Amino acid sequence: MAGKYDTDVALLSVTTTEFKAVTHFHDWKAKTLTNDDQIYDVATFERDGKVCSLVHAKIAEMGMTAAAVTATKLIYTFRPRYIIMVGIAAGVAKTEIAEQMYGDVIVPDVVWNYSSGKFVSPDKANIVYGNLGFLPRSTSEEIPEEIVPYLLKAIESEDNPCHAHMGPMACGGSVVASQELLEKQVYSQYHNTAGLDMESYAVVYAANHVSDPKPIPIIVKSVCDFADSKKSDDYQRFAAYSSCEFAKYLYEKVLPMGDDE
Amino acid sequence: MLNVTKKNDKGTMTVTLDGRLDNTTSMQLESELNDSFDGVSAVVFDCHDLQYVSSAGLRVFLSLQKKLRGQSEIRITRVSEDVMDIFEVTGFVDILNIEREG
Repeated sequence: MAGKYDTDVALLSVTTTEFKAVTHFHDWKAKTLTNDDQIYDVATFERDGKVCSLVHAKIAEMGMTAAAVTATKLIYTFRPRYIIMVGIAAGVAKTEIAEQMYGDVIVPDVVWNYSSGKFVSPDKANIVYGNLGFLPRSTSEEIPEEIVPYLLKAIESEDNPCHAHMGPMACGGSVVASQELLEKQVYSQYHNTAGLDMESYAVVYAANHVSDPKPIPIIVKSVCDFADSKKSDDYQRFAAYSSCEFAKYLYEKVLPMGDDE
Repeated sequence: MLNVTKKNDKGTMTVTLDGRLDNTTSMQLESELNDSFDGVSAVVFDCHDLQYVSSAGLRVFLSLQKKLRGQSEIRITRVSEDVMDIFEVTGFVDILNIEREG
């Protein structure tokens, strides 16, 4: 592609289930680079009669550290216009905000790190777990505002192949299967949080803070459980698939592409 | 476009799907399935002429499963190879009772 970017779209996934869903949608070819142990996958897609480029990287482990490193490498190596993280998340929306089901897509306008803070004695904290207190110092990153209207348009479109919601994505370093933690640490800070994952904050942070040309970060994650004690793996494949299906819809039909800056 | 026909015979409701089950038509199917299921012990989807199902379409099956849990069995039958591929990659073959065409 011409212009300041070298690649149209970069995708990131983490788990093997997510990787399998990514591979379902395109005819990928593996690509390796000298002095880099990361395996990349490259493919193309058509948009308005033009061939566009796509690259994917599977992050080696869950969590923000590996996600930030892989996202940064992907950005500097391929200089994508968009970096889209697909995959699975916990749905945490309360029914008064949005009725979520397994496979529903969450597209955040803001991602925030709920696990950042300080453990203190209970009398010095506003979040208390038994004999332990926690002082949250959450940080957030916004999806660039120029792209949010396109995301909303995709969510509301009749062509959208999925059921999708927009709302904050809470990101932390641990898998959550506790309603108590959700109430005390997540809803208390962003009451309208729509989902919970372990990488989105790192990916958006990397995209927003690399040197120019910065890619536009987009998170597309689908509900595979509800972060409570009923948590199971039964719906992970469906969630991974629907997130990839929605991401494909975004870059093939909705996001500005090519010369349309 | 999706054509939906329903037939209730001795407690078995057969729902025939003809066309594409996407975002728009999933709302149509959802509306068709809003009826009462009193006295229905099994809901059988005949998918012989179903050409495609999107994630929004799959959501309708999950929604019905949730609604009928403990009341009626759901079976998805006569599924073509292309649609079966979607049921397999999404794991629906382990969630619902799905039978391949032929």
